[in-house]
Amino acid sequence: MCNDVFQTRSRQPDPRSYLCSVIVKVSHLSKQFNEFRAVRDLSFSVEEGDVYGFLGQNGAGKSTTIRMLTTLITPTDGEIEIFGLSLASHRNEILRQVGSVIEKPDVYKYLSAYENLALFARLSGSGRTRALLMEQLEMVGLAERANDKVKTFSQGMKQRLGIAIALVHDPRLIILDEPTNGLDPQGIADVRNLILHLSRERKKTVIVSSHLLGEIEQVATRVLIIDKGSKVTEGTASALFDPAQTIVALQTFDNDYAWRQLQLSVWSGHLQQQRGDAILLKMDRNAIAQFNRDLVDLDIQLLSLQPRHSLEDYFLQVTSGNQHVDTYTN
Amino acid sequence: MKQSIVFLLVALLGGNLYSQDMTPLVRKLKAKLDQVNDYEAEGKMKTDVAFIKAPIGRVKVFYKKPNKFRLKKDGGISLLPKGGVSVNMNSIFTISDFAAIDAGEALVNGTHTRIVKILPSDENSDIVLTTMYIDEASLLVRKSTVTTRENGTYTIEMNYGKFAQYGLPDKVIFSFNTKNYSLPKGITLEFDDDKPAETEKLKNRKGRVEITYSNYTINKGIGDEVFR
Amino acid sequence: MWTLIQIELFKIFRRPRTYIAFAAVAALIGVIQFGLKLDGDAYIAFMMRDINSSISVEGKILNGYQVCYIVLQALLVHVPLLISLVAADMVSGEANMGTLRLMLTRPVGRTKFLLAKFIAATVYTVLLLVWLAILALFLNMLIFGVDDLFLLKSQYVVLLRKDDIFWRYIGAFGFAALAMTTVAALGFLLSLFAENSIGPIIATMSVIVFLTILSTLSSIPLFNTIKPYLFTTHMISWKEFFDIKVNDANEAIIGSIQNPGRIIRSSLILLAHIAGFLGIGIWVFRKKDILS
Repeated sequence: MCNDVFQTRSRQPDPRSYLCSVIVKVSHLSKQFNEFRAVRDLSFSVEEGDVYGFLGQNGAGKSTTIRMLTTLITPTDGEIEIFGLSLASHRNEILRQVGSVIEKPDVYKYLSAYENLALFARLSGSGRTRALLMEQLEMVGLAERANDKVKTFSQGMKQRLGIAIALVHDPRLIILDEPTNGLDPQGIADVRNLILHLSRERKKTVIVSSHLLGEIEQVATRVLIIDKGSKVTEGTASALFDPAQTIVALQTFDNDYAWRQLQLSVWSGHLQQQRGDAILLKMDRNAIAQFNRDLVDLDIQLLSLQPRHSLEDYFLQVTSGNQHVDTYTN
Repeated sequence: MKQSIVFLLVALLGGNLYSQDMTPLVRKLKAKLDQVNDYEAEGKMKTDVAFIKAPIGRVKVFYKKPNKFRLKKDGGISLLPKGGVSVNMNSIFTISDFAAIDAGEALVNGTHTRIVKILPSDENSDIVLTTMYIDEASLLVRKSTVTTRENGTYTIEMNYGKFAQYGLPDKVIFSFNTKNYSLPKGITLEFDDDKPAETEKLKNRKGRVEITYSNYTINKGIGDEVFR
Repeated sequence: MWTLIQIELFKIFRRPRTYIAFAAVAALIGVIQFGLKLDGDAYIAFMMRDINSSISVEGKILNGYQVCYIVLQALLVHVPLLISLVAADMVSGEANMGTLRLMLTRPVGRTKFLLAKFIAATVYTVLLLVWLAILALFLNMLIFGVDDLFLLKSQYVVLLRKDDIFWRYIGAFGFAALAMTTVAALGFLLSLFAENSIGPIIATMSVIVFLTILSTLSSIPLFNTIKPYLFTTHMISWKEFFDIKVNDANEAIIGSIQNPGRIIRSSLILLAHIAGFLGIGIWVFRKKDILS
């Protein structure tokens, strides 16, 4: 239906004219490297103005997904639409409106900060004047070092330059892959503030990935948690980070039977997934006692019931399926 | 009997004819050539040797008695096949002691000539035998075949014009057997194969050097440094 | 596209590595010039030792044209190594630096990106040959003067008149540019498969050295059969410009070339190699997942 909006406006695909609020739509995305399945059947969508947190441990498939979003990797299966256009068929139109920093912010070390920025500005097709480019460097605090070779820069300075390059053509969507990797606490804070600035002041849509929950927690409006290439959960940050909402890990003698029973019960809406030897449910802390009673009524033989207190615990738990889970005795 | 008389007569006459001493004729010829103490000549040289690919080049030839001879290219590089090529009649007469034997008559390019064989008396001389085709009427050597110890046999043909009075030719054609020439491809850094036919052609040809003189400067004196 | 090529050229010529080749060419030619200026007669004597019994050569053999020929003969074997230093680094170097993913997330198609890079590598190659021409031809013409060019071939010797030589060098340098572009295309192709530049550079050099050895082993029938199919065999066809035709009287025809067909055939084979290498490169690169 977003496409309809676009198509009635113009026959010529122009991402700027696309008014739909869904900026990125990923459907059933998969990537297979030989034997290894990096991403499996991943679907999510990012709306205009979101700071979309992409959360997962190292090797969970975040980078592969982000590389697929930026056309560095071709998906084995699935569909990516950005600004309502298929990425496969409208690559250049889409990328003209996307700025990204993928992993390390590597730039040409033998060129100066200004030369790097000017080079990528030309490459992105935006005719930027020197004043505008200097303004861009000013924004990331590199104006004074504009003419210094990048090889003399610290990791944090390179990261800021990388971000300046990602923003040089004033993109609508900004994709940052692990932007705080290798930064000192001040650098991390700078990046965080920059993301908030981009989102709030400049109304950009940002996709930011990290393996650190703390970072995502502070900036994201929506969060996708990914593990072993699959989606674990997706939701608004307020819902996922709600301290009143608790994840409960349930272990029974027969998890499949328990899952079926719970699906038929009033608790079906709380079910998250069956993972390892536990069933995960999300519920208000106050409901746990009632839930425990209902388990008896549903004839589910309980081994353990373990509430997790924060998203951090939840994240750790869901993304480390084989880890030992502390038992919680009610 | 009659037959044997005829045989004897023929043998006597013939013997007399072939053993006739030609030394006076050769001395006369030498005297004519001896008028020239030195000369400098300009000309064009064409090298027709199978293994040499060279364009026609302008040359300068210098001669000084008794046997100094130098061929210089008028600028540039000159190539001459080795083999005692002096392209010059005069030096043949440096041999002072020789026997000259009449060997009959022949036509050279339509000119009636007498064939004279010249044998040097000196056993160590490089020239073993010279056969000259002498135009007795104008006292000019039209053709000469020289057999040497070191450099094989070569033939010189001469055409005369303006400088005939000095015995100097306008055109000299020097023919000789070429030695084989080949270098390993490793040295010349060539990968390509030559066609076999081409190679065959190269082996079978006789060499020729042709010089057409346009001008002689005679007896004006030439310093020895030219021949160094 | 023009912008892309400009950007690629800008990157090439802002890198110190680029100038290694230019410096190396200057140094090598300088050494040869110095040696020949100092001891050129000994070199000529050495060169002539095999033919002195057959031909006597007089004149200034060691002139600028001769020195240029000596330099080309010596250097055109090694220039491929210098070409690969840059060409084999074109993509792998960026992968290594990490800038490849930055480049490829820009709104530029991969085919265009690769073509621009290849054109830039070709420009570099041509400039290196222009540099070679300046030093080996023009500088030597100044230092050693010009005269006829006397050349040894395996079956015959060639004498070229001095006013019939310069255009042959222009042709030879043009052909050399094509041959070196073939090397660049090979290095370029190999650079797509690696994420560091050392691998493709060494691989390119190895291929060239290996095939050149096969090309020279013509005495072994098996290698002789495959020789025409090796591009290295055709890379030295620039020498054909220095072989002259003769007429029936065996007189060299000024302004002629003995085997123009060979030059054309070699050029076409090299062009086919360039197209092939580039085509495979584009095909591979379009499908390649960028994991660097």
